[in-house]
Amino acid sequence: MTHSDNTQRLFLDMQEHPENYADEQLESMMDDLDREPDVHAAWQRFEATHHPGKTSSHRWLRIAAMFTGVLLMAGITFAAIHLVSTKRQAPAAVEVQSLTPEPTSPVCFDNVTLDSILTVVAAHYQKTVTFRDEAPRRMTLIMTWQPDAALADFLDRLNAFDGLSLSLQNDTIFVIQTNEEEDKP
Amino acid sequence: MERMEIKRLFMQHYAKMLRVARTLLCDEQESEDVVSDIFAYLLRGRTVLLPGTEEGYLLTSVRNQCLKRLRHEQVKRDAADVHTTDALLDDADIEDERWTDIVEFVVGHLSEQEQRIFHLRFTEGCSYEEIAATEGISRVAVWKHLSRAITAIKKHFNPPKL
Repeated sequence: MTHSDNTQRLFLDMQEHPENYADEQLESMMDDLDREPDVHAAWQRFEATHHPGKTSSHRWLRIAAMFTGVLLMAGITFAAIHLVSTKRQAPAAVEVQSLTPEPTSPVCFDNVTLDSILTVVAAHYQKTVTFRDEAPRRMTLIMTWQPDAALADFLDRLNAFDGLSLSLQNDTIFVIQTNEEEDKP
Repeated sequence: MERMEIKRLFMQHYAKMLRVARTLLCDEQESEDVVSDIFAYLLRGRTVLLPGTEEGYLLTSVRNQCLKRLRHEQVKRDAADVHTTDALLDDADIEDERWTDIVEFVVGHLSEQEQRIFHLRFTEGCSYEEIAATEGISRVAVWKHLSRAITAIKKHFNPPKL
């Protein structure tokens, strides 16, 4: 299949008026539409544009930089964020050893695991986190957090994600996985 | 979703997904982009596909993404009417509703054979060759049945849904 508008027009016309075309022409169009792609080459192209090392290291560094900036602005000691690895498959690579921030500026979580997000957020609100299911721990999310907003508002926003349910009981944030799997790209 | 799992899905379903996209978009680059976007979405990690639902999920995603692109193109063509820009609301449910409307029309208005062929092509992602073998007819006959189905759908829906 070529990429031209002419091919598209030809395809549409063949679809609307197949009677105007010889069988061989229709066959040729079908051959083109059903041509087997080179899947390995396609995967390599996909990998090249979605390489984990390149993108996620930037992301993690950006997150670390944002935390550092937020903490410096707040004048609070930032104990340590260790970047152990930059591989995306290991989101636990961001190890928050001791973090007691009281940031006031918005924090942007860009592809950060829910586990890491809640570690930071719960510390800020002086809550603990209990994952009743393990799967949500590894969910990676993109969202901003306004530290001076109410915790309940932040939990509401997390609850808008399919398959996720968070509730606050006493001083503990409980996280469970719901049965809804309706992610639609 | 883990990278190795993405690779397995990619190797297993890419060809079929691309086939459905090509049939709807008739543009190689756009079709590749649609399929690639779906795997990129999975790579971001939130979706868990249960065994037995993978192919259905992936092909439905392809259809929805193609319908969305076609809808956006339609809106661009109608750009003179500023109100139509509202139609660009990025709501995945819209594509599901559009497809449901199309399927309801297909079931209510097309012959049983046309329904089967439409289903095999757009829901199962079968090749023309496979459909021809299943139905015991020539590939050209398959094309003509699909042609009638798509033309009828286009005529029925205004604005067009395909």
